[in-house]
Amino acid sequence: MLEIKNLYASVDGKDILKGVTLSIGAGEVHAIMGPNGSGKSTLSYVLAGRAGYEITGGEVLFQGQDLTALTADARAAAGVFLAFQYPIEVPGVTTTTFLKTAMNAQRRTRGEPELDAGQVLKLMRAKARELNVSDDMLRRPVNVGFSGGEKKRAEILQMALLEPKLAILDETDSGLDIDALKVVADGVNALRGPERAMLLITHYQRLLDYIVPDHIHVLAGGRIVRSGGKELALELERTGYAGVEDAA
Amino acid sequence: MTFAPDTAEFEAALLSAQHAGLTWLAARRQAERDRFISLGIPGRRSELWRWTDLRPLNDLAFKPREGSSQTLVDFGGACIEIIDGKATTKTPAGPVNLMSFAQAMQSAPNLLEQHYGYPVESAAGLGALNVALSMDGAVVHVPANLSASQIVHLDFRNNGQDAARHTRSLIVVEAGASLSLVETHAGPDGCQYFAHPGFDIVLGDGARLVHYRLEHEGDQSVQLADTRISLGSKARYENVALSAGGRLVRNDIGLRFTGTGASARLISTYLAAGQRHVDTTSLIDHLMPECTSEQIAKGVVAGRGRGVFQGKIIVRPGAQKTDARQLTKALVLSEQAEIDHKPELEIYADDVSCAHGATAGDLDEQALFYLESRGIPRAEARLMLVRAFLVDALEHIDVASVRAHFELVLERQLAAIGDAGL
Repeated sequence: MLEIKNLYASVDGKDILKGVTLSIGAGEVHAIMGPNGSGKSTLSYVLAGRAGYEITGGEVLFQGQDLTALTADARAAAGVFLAFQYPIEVPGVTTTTFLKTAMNAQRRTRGEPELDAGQVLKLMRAKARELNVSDDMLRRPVNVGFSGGEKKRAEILQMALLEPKLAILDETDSGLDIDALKVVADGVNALRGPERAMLLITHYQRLLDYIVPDHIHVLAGGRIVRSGGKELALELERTGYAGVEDAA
Repeated sequence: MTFAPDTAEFEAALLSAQHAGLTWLAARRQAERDRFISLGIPGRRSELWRWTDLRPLNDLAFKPREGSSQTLVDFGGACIEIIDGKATTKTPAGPVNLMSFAQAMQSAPNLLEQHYGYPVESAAGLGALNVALSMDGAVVHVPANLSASQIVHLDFRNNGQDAARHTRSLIVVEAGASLSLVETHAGPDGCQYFAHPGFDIVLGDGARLVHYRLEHEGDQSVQLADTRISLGSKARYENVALSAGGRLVRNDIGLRFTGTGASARLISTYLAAGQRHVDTTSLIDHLMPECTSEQIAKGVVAGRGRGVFQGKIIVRPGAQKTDARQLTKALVLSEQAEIDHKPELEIYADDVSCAHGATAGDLDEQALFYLESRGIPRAEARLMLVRAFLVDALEHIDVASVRAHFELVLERQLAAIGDAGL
């Protein structure tokens, strides 16, 4: 589903990714771990199409298509979703309006019929209940005044409604206590399926106790320096990143 | 540049301004006429007109002409129509007295004499011309201790190429009374006219006025508004205004606290795209202690649009325990658009709390990317954030029919600037 080949990227003229190669198949859950500054968040922004993240080499194919040729909104419509480490507050736009606009914008881009307000609301309420997102949160402006846990639950709600083919979760566990983490992890696990790939980006192993990946990669110095199965997380927990950084 | 209008035409207009044999009114008009002649139309060398150029008025006549009316909005309350400068009450007499100025000259001359068009220090604009020439206007009088149950609509509709519409309206809310008022100004696009509405708004002790204002003049019009407000002890004044129409719009507001413990909140929003120029110039005068004022101006400038906010707050000697706040925020969406902010505080008392702030900038890139990452195309995302910036001001409108209409007008303007490429 996603083929990253020898990807180089820079921000403000500074090289951050230095030859990342990674392949994710449909239905697979991959985790990228690594120390701070290794390029994890940069990779997520490059995939989502954020302005200012310049690709200087290599390629990214999504379902055989050159992802980097698409604008951020076209990537979303094609099925890429980024759950933000720090979800952005959008005063003046209610969560309901935001989600309805996003769902219909994607449908329009894909040439599908738009949903009316009633259909959106029905879908939204059903998914919101599963994720413990209150009606009050849906009525409030996007992320404004939400607690850390509420913001992360809202991200997963967006993901559940937008039904991406590739979900990138950037430090989804940061700022969550154990109960909030369980709710979020349950939400993510419920979205696992044979048609959907996931890329978890995390500094800590803790998240991977709850969302168990099929593959783990270690990113250090802008390159993937080790790959392995889920047991790699436990090894990193014992040894830290010191060893792998030397390898980079 | 300072110039005087065509004298013969001006004298003819002055003669036709009604005074129904009221000598005080004739004298007041004459005094204001003299004041206007000595001042002339303000030029840009005048500090208060630095950013607003009135030369478009050169092309317009000062006399009224025939026009035709516009479509109607109904807010479900009482209504006075002011069509092409002529007022007609649309609602049968109730506990709130609604009159045209012409009627009030007959039936309420004392009320007029007491409040109508008194010059105030803050009348820096064309207020003198307005008082001298106003042909008609609405008069609303709420007797003491009456809580008006119905909203009152002052429905200004203008038309007529090259026409000038000088009106002056009086709203008096007596002690302990309360009223909600909505003032709308509309006119056809493509028609050059000069709308010149003046207002004297007087709140007695403990009175309350909620005042909504929609400027939706035609896209080639000039509107210069002169609004003077005075608040008695413990009075409360709330204003929510949206400016979304005329080619050149200036709103001069003079608010005076004449009693202790009164409060006012003024929220204004504007959208200036294309060639539109919107200027809000205000003087909030804390003459008495323990009064609170809060002023928020939010504007969006796009295309070659220009926004001006000049807000002066004076805290006079002895006006202790004044609490005055002012905030002006603008979104600047294009290289050619311009915003000029001039907040000014003059404080002559030592036990006060005053604050002001001004911001101007483009939309937040992080928020834009967040919306785009959810599949919303950039142009639509920008429009969404612009709407969000403006619409929260309209959330202060408590009357559903008014809020819906203001939102509709805002949506139309947003769609227009969206089509023009944000």
